[in-house]
Amino acid sequence: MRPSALALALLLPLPAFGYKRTQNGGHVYLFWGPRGHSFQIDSRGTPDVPGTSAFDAVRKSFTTWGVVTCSDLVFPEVLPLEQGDRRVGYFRGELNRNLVLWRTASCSTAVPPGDPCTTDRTCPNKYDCWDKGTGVIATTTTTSSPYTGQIFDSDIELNDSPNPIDGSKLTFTTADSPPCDPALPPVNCVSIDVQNTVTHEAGHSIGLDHTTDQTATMAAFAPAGETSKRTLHPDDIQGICAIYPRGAQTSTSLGDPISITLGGSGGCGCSSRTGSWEALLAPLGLLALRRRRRI
Amino acid sequence: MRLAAALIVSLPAAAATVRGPADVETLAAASEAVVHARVLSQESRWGGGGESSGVIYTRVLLRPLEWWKGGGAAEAIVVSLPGGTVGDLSQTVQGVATFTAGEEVVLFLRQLGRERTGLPVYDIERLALGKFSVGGLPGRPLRAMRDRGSLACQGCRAGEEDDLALDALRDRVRRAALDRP
Repeated sequence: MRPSALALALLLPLPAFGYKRTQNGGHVYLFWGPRGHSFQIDSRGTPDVPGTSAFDAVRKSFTTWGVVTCSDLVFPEVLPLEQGDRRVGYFRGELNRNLVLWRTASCSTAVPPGDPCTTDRTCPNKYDCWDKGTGVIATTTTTSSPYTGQIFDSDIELNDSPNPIDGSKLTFTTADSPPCDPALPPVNCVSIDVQNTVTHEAGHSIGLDHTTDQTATMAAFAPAGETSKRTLHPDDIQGICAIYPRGAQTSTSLGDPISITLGGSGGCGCSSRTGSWEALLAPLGLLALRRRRRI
Repeated sequence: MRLAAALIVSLPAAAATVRGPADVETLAAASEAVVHARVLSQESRWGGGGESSGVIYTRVLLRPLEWWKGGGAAEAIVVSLPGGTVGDLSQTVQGVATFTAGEEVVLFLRQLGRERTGLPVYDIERLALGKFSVGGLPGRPLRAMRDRGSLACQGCRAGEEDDLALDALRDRVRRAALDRP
């Protein structure tokens, strides 16, 4: 970038972006190297929703991000396997699938007393159970390079397990409306909407954190029975396009050159040459892009 | 330069979705124990079996200052959290609370088990929703503050009870523990 252009850019007012990018333990922004972020829905789905509507809702969640026209990040689906691999995390040298799965058993009841997996957090993979407590609805586990931020694997787990004390559980739904009445059985209403939840979590899986824009899909707060996060807000679109702009290099934290390594879930073996200042100023470029093109 | 500053200064963050509400009484009722403690150290490791487990966890060692609900006489406790960085891999389980050595905290806990050393091992109730950092200005009453920017909360209100006087927090936890031990 020429010095005059840099000076001009620094004089411009700050863009009113609310979106934030996720950083990992190396304090670098997360990103997918390849422009195809595959996902695989576990074939068991959720017993809360009969038929295929929960699967369709997950597919719609990823499609919602995939149809943004100012980005070319795509979300190919790896078809569910009857006997799928339900292990979450990263397995070096193996095929790492980006899973979406519901855990239907609680580790509190599934794990024999004294098993050390309870303290080293390996019970979910060992016993196919949920160990994060009844108050947690969903988590996304992302494995990445602490040096570059390149994501190697990202798995979404949803808590469909009964409370070990009283047997109560969260209820996932796919109905469009109305919000469920807490005093009535959750039938033909919205309790925890699959598409609403997974669209939000999918945003995390591509490297977006919570936004300050409270109307966006990546907002941190959600009323019970919410479905508004099924669709993206301009702030979410700005976020994905800032990281993965169509036809341009992925925006990363680090300067030239970053060697993008081949991860377990696929890689491109390419390199990003986004310089430090250029990376910092990428949102300004996006702002200019938005002025020319509706997104 | 303000643009650069605004873009460089960003928080380590991530996210998960938890259930609200986020009020003290709800959290205390859902927790097996509540402790006021100081962080001694932390270390990230691969799960049992090493790298083949596919899972990284972080072991946080704390010294209890005072139990407000449950707990015991242990001189130290362990909080085991999913995620961390080991070698060339960083694993982020989004929404999990983060710690720094020396930090004073209030934690809403559920017990996971015991280490071979006998130290009790806990998880935090509702991820970062169950952690308050204790601090304040010199000469002023201590406050307990919660950072839940990394969490999506269904049924919470923005800012709901994220900044409380430490004494008030202790009183409310103890009252809630009496109501629902």
